[in-house]
Amino acid sequence: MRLLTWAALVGLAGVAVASGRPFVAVSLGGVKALLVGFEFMELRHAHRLHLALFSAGIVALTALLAFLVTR
Amino acid sequence: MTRPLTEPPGGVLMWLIVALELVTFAMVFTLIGVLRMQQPALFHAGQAALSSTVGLVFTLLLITSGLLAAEAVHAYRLTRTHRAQRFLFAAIALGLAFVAFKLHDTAGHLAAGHRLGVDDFWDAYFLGTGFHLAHVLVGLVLLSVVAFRLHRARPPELETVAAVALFWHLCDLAWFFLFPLFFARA
Repeated sequence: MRLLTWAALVGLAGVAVASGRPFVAVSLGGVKALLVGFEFMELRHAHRLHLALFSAGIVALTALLAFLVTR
Repeated sequence: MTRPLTEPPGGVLMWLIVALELVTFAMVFTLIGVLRMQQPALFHAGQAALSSTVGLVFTLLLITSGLLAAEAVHAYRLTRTHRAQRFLFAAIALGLAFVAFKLHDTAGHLAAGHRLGVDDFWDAYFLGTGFHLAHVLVGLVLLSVVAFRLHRARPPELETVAAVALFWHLCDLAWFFLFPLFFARA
């Protein structure tokens, strides 16, 4: 799973650069952060509350930055 | 297996530190986003001096180093200490490559006349990426201390290795949001 996650991260990083659109890059940044949290930071084995708080924080930050880069 | 509420992976203390750092980074990113929103032409001009390929290289170095740190924790959990140490040293090597490449890139910008105080874009760029670089350096020190202690008579606990890796992954997370603010342009 870790190797698959790394491959997904590399792929998403490539897509973010290829698209060149800040909104897409910020959104993919949020997806990458969630992947790192779930797999590398082992939050998928954590208590549901930890997983929920982390996910909510990342989604909120992604939404805020996506809003700012599209203004 | 799901862990209890009082035992997050990496320990409560490191999660408190990571949460505090993430909030601090979020404030920095928001400030940069607001500056970018207020001065789009300035940011567009500044971004023309940045290479998205260079940004991609930074990203690849960090996420590969993050994978190696995660593998080190997994190996240490299986009591494969030599393997864990090799993974940690490899993660450190890629982290050092990131620092070297970042310093080289920064030297290039300084030589081109881009420095602090020139305009809001370069202030945001140097302060934002500098703040991130400071965290990378702290992470490298922590990884090195743990890696060199793995074969001591009293090796670190698994939770300590996991906590240090957790801090290292924080550097990945922060970079994922710094990258689009500076390197992504239409």
